Amino acid sequence: MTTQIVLASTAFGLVTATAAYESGGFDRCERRILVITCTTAMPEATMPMRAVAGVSELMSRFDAVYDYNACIEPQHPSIWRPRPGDLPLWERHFRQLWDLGADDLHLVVESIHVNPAQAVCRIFGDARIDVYADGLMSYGPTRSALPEMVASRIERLLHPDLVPGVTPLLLSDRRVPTVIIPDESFRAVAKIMIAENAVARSSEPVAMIVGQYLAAGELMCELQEVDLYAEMISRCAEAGYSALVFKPHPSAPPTQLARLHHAARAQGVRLAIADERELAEAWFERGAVELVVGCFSTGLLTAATIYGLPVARVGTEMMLEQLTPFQNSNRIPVTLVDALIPDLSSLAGPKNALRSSMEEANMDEVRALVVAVGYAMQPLRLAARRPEAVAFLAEHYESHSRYFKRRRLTRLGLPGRMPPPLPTPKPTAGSRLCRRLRRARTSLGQWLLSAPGTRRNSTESAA
Amino acid sequence: MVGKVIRLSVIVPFFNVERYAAENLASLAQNANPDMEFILVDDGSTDATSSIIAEGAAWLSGAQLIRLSRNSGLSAARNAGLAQARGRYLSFLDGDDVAAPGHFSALVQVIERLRCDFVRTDHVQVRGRQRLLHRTSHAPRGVACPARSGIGPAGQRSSVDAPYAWAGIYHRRLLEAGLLRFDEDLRTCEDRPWIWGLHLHAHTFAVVGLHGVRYRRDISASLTQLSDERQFDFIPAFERIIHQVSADPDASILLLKALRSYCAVICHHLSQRERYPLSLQYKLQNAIVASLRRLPVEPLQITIAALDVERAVTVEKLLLEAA
Repeated sequence: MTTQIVLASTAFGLVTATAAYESGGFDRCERRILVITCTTAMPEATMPMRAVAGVSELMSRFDAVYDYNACIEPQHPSIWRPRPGDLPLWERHFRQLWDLGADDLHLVVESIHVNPAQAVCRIFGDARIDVYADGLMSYGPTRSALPEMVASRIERLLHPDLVPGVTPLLLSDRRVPTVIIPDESFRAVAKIMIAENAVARSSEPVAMIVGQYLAAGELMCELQEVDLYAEMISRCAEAGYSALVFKPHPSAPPTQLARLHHAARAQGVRLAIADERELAEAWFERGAVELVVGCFSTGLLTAATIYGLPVARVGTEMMLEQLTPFQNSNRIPVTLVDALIPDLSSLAGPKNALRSSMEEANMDEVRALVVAVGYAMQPLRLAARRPEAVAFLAEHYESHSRYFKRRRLTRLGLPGRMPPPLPTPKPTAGSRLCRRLRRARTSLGQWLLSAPGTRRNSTESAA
Repeated sequence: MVGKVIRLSVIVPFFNVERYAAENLASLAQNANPDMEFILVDDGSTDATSSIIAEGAAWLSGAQLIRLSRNSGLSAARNAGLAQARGRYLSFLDGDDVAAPGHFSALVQVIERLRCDFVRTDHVQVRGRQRLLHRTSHAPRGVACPARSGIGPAGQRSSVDAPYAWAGIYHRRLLEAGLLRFDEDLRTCEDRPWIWGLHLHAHTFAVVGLHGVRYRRDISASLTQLSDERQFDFIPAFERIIHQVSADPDASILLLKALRSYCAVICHHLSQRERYPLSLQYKLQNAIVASLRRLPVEPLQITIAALDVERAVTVEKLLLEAA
């Protein structure tokens, strides 16, 4: 008997995994269990996933639901990991806790490079593993070396087709095949996530600002992040949108909303805060949104690709500048959003149709850009992609220099690197003499070469 | 609200904790219960804390807000909360800490089951995502015991060595007996004489394995890490304890425990003295020397003899200066 274990840390992840299942993406299994976890800095202060509209419906499709955080309490799921020698103990423990008997196991996890997914994959050492995408991050290269015992068992990467024509780099170094989760399946599941009373509530469509957790992710300070959202509010107002909704990220710590309201008042626009118990995708699904604005949120791409909604970005230039180190795994999401989505200020007139923006992008170029940036991020893991990176940079570096750092390119010897230092001048008669004297290493030579003020007595320097 | 029975009042003082106040409130929301009240005390905050908890008081069910016009210190803030509390039981949470979902309901259940004056708990110390379980030493655990058994002999860690008011739940009769009031003139270390007072004067208590409080240890601004004179209040705090137990019929045993704890805390503060500017280091040393001079000589000698060599030498040196 086979039991499938789906591990999900967000409602969006649960939607992705469910869509993959509903589209027939998995082999048959006799039993399916869902293991939920919360990996925010303080899970005890985070809204539980089951409070999100539609999640209990999705949960009811599983034979059982377990809370991983409760299983390892008081430890934090991002930190706790079993010691190698203890793995069989933990397997016995979890098999008992989750009523797994001696079943064959099939793990379906996201974010395989970190705990808790990696801990679970290590504990169930014989299980087959499928990975599902955690948003735009999956388009970037594998962040860190996976334990061989985990990596070798990964069979597929399942992902929604957020950037049609571009294949995720994640796990490509292990030649893990990718499988697209069809848009229709994703939308069918997202439809379930509409809050019951939401349709009655909504009136005219709004411009939605999708928040992230940039400060909690240590990409900037809290003040900067709030400033960024305030800027989005003013720029939306300037572009002619008067009804705005701010959608806080479900994993973000509570934001200081007072400042956002203040920004909206200053611009004379209405700002509502979206109920955190509803996914952004549910808003897209019920046609409540006429424009989606964000920095580099995955929500921008779901809106544009899966829902065909107009989208605009704010702040990616700053992020490209600030992201450090170069291999920061947010780099590919930022790059994709910057390359594919127009800046909000490029809206010529109010409510300009942005619908076509994605079609305008040269997808071949974007595909090659992702490979080149990905290679520069993880040159060892993606060594095989070097020729593609070289070809792209040789042709496009000038127009795409904002996605790279010259020092990085120089270190990797890629086109766009800094020019080599100036060649040393041709030796003159004088310099030849100096060199010869130096080589002779005689006390006279040393004495002649030293600056007059510092000359010591010749016997001393000979000694 | 009229006629509603409040089972538990949780007193939550806040002072300039804008980064953490919202998480604190979010965790209270996952503890809310119709028969619970959360008394949020804004201790004269000057940052965004005030607006965060004012907003929180509006949506958090069972919350009420007390605003102190100026910063009065943790003791005064807790006392202000106690004055408003209507619950049959009382508990605390600091404004920068977090309680696990359902923690307070579990506390109420356990004190109702054990029927004692107060219950003390373990807790979890949090540094970023690192967590460390902190146990409160006592045996037997999970059983109502005489309150005095929580003091324990010198040289053995006990409930009074985990002086965290928020690691517990307290019956209202202790409030009525005046035992839950904090000394407002102590700016730090107020928990020490408080917990000693409880163990000396209450009848029964228990230590249980609940550990729902997440105690942040990574805050640079936290008072336990401040490097100013307020830290020196451990001296009057311990002198108060020693004064109290000296008059007690069990003085001979209690005094040794109090002195032992005092010496340990003295050594701890001296080992940390480099945090202070030089003038304060002298001041600290002088204050300790003066305090040692006031202590009963014979019990102090017994205490020093039982210290490990390093601490014994430290205290001996100070005593020589006192002589």
